[in-house]
Amino acid sequence: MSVSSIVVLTLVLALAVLAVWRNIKKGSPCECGSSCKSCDGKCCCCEHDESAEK
Amino acid sequence: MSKNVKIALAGNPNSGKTTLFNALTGSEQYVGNWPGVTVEKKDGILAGHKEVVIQDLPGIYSLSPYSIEEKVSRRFLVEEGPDAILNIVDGTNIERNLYLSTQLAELGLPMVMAVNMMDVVRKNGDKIDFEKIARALRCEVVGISALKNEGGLEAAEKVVEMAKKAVVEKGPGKLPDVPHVFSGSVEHAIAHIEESIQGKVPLRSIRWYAIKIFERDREIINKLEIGVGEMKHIEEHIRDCEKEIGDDAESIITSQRYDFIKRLMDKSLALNEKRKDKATMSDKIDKIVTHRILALPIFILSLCAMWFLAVAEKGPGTVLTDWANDGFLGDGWHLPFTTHEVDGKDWETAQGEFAKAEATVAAWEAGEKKASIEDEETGEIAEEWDIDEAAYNAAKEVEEPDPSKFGVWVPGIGALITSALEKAGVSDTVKSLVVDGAWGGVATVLGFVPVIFVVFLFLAFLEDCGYMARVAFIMDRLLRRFGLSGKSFIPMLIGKGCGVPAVMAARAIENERARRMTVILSTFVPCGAKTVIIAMFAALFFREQWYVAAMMDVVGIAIIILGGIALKKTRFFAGEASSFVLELPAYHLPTISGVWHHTWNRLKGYMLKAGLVIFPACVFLWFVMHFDWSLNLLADEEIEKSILHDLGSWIAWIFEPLGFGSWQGAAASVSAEIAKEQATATLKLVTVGMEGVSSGAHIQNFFAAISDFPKLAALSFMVFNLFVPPCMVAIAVTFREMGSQKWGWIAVGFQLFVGYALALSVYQLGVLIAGGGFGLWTAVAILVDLFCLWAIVRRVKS
Amino acid sequence: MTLAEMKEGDRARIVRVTGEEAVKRHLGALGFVAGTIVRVVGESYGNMILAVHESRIAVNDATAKDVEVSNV
Repeated sequence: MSVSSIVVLTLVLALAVLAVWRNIKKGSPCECGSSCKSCDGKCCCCEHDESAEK
Repeated sequence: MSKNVKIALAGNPNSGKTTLFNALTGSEQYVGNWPGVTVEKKDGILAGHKEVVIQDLPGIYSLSPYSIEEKVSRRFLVEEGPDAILNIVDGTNIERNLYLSTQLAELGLPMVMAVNMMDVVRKNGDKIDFEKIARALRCEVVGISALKNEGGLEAAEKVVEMAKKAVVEKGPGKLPDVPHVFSGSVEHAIAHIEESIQGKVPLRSIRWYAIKIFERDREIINKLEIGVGEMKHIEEHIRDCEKEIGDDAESIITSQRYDFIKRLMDKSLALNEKRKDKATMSDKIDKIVTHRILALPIFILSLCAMWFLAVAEKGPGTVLTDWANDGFLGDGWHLPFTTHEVDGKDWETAQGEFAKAEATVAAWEAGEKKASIEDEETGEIAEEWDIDEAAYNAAKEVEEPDPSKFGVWVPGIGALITSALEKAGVSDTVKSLVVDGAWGGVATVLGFVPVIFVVFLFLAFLEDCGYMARVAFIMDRLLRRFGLSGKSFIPMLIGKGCGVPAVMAARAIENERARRMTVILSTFVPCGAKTVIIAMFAALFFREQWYVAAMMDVVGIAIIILGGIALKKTRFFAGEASSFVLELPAYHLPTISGVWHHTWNRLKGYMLKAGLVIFPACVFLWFVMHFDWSLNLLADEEIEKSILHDLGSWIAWIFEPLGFGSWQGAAASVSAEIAKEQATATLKLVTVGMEGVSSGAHIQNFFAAISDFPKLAALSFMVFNLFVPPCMVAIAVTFREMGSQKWGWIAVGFQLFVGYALALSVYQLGVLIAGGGFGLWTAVAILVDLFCLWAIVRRVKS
Repeated sequence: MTLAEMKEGDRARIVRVTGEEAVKRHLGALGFVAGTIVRVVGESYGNMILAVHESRIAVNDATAKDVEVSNV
């Protein structure tokens, strides 16, 4: 494989891994309609929703 | 002073609190109209005052300990103790708003009351005497108009001033000036209680605590650890009052507050006589919109209008999406108004001629005597012609037309990426990963932005103008029949954006059974992601039948109603009908910025999802599609040896009766659990081998290949993915909101059954009607339908 | 007499609110207390829209049955 192929391949894989990691850390984004500034900067559709109490 | 000043912003729902908060802090919080939605406390820095934190509390009507919003607000006000309170009051609804104000005033904190909507008050011809109210409630009162940006900042600055003064002048232990709202005997009892709790509470709030104890507020009584003997003594005082007045303590307090407010208003509120008892504009609109016969049709019509704009053939949604898919994100497009003819032909004609020439060459070289081209949209043969050697030679000479000769050509992102990779000398495999895999999938999802933009915009407009509250009210009659709270409709409306906050909003329902049912049923309304599936299938299979899209919403609501009826008859959910109380805010023309923010937030979530969820999913899918189990790289034609092919084939049989029992259909459906729109991206990826000129044609060819009734198979696929359990994130939230594994699985199980049964019925009965004959699965479908019918209509012993 | 028996355009004075505690409280906070005058702005199949002070409150028939009123 050419150098450029390897570069592009690595880039794509790295981005994919980063995206998954970010989702696990910060919660998956969704069309929730609330500003992502709420819920401590995470999108409101995150798993870690401590702001609302039962 | 470098000490942080904390200001609590408190007020009724619909009082304009969030608008004011946004103006004061520069935030972009969405103005929510629903109970149970804004349960978060948000804070922001007051513009121009770095040391001042404004804490926005959820909209509340009272400081009782009963709803989540009240508990959250109470806890902040009483335990965290802000330095001052900014109480926002709706000037057009001032009496009801003051009910909360009297309670806030009793906390003994420095307070400024900002009477909002003064522009409307003035327009109505009403007059409010701020001074009298200020004296009665022992606080500062100013008029503002948050919408017009008048007076809000000044009110905030005033309260900051008061907060700073309070810290300097008075220590926290001084008895403040609070209003005395109640009658003689009640005040007497309160005084006694104050004596008993001296020293247990901050002095400034002692009155508020005493009143709460008089109301027998369990939370406060437990927190203050009032001894049994002491409580008995207090009880005697309370009971004396109750006997004397003839009502229970809580009702006495509520009543007397309103008596106080009435007396105050007699002195300080002068309503315009001409308006008395006259129907307001909102009333007039409501007459039509909640009319016993017109209400439901009007609602369905508004849904239809939305879908028409979004997916109808020549509608804005479709036109823009086609441009996005084929042009902007794909090969390229001409700038409007720059196209012209070359050699007497326009771009479409030239392209068409070249396509025919290509088809002629391919057919002749394959040894055929006839060549044909397919209609881009229907996949059916549009033209067929005989070919001979002469035609073949002539066709070979036809050059591919250069788009830039026909006008200003903007290459699409897909084309740009492809040419960039080619120039860099990237291998075909990696190019395929990037262009077909990653970009192909993401572009599919992004291409539908125009459609879902229309949907989100419509929803935002309807919600912000106040109509949706009416819809909740209209729907209640239907929902009530199976023990769902009227509040259950709100999560379902939220679910049109995303199922995750919809399920969370069910928290606002106190009744456990109703709450559980709401969690199970909320996600049957197609969410933003499911809308993409609808949009794609509408574009590929139902261009002329745009109402199919609208029908999916109707089907969703029908499932909620019928499913609810059936569930209520099971032992898990039987129960009595509950009450419904909802404030209908006055209609108002939504502000452009409000609607924009509301729409944009959802849209942004959608696009972020494309980059963060769809992208890695497609990369992963590309890998399992192009490698076999020994991790050999496969050529395009060898896709049947791939991991994905095997995985899909193992479960493809499940989807056989539904009409799409192939490894591709299975893979697409399963991948939809990552994110519903992934189904569209996966479909695109796994069918890329099946020829087609336009971006969707290979999907059409795919369905044609797997079923004799492609439109039915497509409809079945769509229905299946719309009505089975939602994406994994939403399922996780479902489990959490249900509180137990058992209930989580009941929810998922029910949703699986519904999705499967519906798709089965659609396909099998559709095939039967279309003349495909009667088979085993037709019989199964009928049996399943009869079972469902029985579950809905059976009589249960109450 | 309860709210449920009122027709569109009627005015009534609230005497008492019965029923579930939670609903009673909520209605109370919204202004449904003894002595308050409410006006029926709209009614369909038992569900009503009421004018209470300057606000509009929608209730269903089950709730309306729990609000005792007298004529004005």
